Amino acid sequence: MNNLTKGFFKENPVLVLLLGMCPSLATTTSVTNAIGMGLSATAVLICSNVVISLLRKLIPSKVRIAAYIVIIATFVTIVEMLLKAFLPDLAESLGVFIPLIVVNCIILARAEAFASKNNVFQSFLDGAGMGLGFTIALCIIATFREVLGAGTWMGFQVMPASYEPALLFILPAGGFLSLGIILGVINLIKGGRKNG
Amino acid sequence: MFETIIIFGSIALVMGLVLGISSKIFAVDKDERIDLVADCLPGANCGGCGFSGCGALAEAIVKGEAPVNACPGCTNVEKIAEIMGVKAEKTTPMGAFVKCSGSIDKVNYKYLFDGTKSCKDITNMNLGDKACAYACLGYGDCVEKCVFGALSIKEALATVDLTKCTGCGQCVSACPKNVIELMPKDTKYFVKCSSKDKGPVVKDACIVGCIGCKICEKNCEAGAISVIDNIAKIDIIKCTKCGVCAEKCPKKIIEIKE
Repeated sequence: MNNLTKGFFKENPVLVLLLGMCPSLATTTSVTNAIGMGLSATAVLICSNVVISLLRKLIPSKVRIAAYIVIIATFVTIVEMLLKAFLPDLAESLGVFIPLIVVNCIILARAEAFASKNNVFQSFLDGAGMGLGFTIALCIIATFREVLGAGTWMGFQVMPASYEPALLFILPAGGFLSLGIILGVINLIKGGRKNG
Repeated sequence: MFETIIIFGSIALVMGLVLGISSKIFAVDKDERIDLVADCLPGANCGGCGFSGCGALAEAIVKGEAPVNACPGCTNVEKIAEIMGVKAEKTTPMGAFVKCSGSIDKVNYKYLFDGTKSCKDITNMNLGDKACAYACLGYGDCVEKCVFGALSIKEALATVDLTKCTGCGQCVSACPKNVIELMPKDTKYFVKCSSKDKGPVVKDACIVGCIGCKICEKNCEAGAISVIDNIAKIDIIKCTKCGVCAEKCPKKIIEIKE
């Protein structure tokens, strides 16, 4: 069970391990995008973790990276086709970041560090936990950016009408600022616990 | 090594199979007419239609958001109409016309310019180096924009090759002086000047500028010419192509296009 929940906070891939920064910054302009990106990555992560764990004794260790990439790329392509077929709007707004999941280091890192050493069920839990942790982190960043930058949350107006949206937070620079602020707050919470 | 090849090969084979099956399941139906229409378009992506490129226009035509003759430079309108199953409306082919005659020997210069050859830049320097504030500067911003190679600069004056011009209008928006206008290609008479200055000012600047003398206006039997803001304008709809105006113009700037 620990393998599932550790991804949520203790080893959160974005907020604690600081992996996969590129999609975390690029796709968090709105909560809808963040959820789409997070769930796509989760689906890929679960599938690739399970398959790699299944094949962990077969794959020769010298060519394992290439084998992982083939497996991951397959699932990313499937997810991309699925999004294009059923959620064309989301696929359009995520654009190139869906195919880029292939090189997302969270997925490769979990394959290398976990799925290649653990059994199928544990790898499944790890993939699901890390994937959901990634989604949660994206949602936190996206909430911060969308509420401040557009005054909306998932497209609904949440700020009073008189609120002037700070466009900066939607722009790339705002992504870095938001991530920095959120990481700072998280470190503050963690540091507080240590000292207490 | 042999083992590696077999394992790797079988992984690739299985994954390939999975991909093949899922591409069947998640196939998105694309209207095949889009490709057919795109093949008929010039493929120059000039943007004259108002869409971001030929591909975008093809999509819009198939969706019915744009008429089949939306492309100003298209020679295959009938073919597109056939693909779409509609009748093509006849369009007048448009071409770019440069409304200035002030070539290097006919216009005075205010100063000698020896900097970057850009009409846009030099417009910011006291409205350009030519004494006439409305003149074609001849540094070729329009030539650069023309993807069809229809424009050239001759004696500091933009010249249009109407056989190559498709009337996309890129040069019109590139010109900081607005001396290029789109008119039907078969336009026979047009005033080759844009100056809104009064007669004496024009005379000082250039020997071929419209001085607003109204001789053409008075002599036009069809009433197609009107002088507004000290510049003659020919209404191409009313024009009967009689040629009296070109004959009577003291500055000989009503050009006859053969």
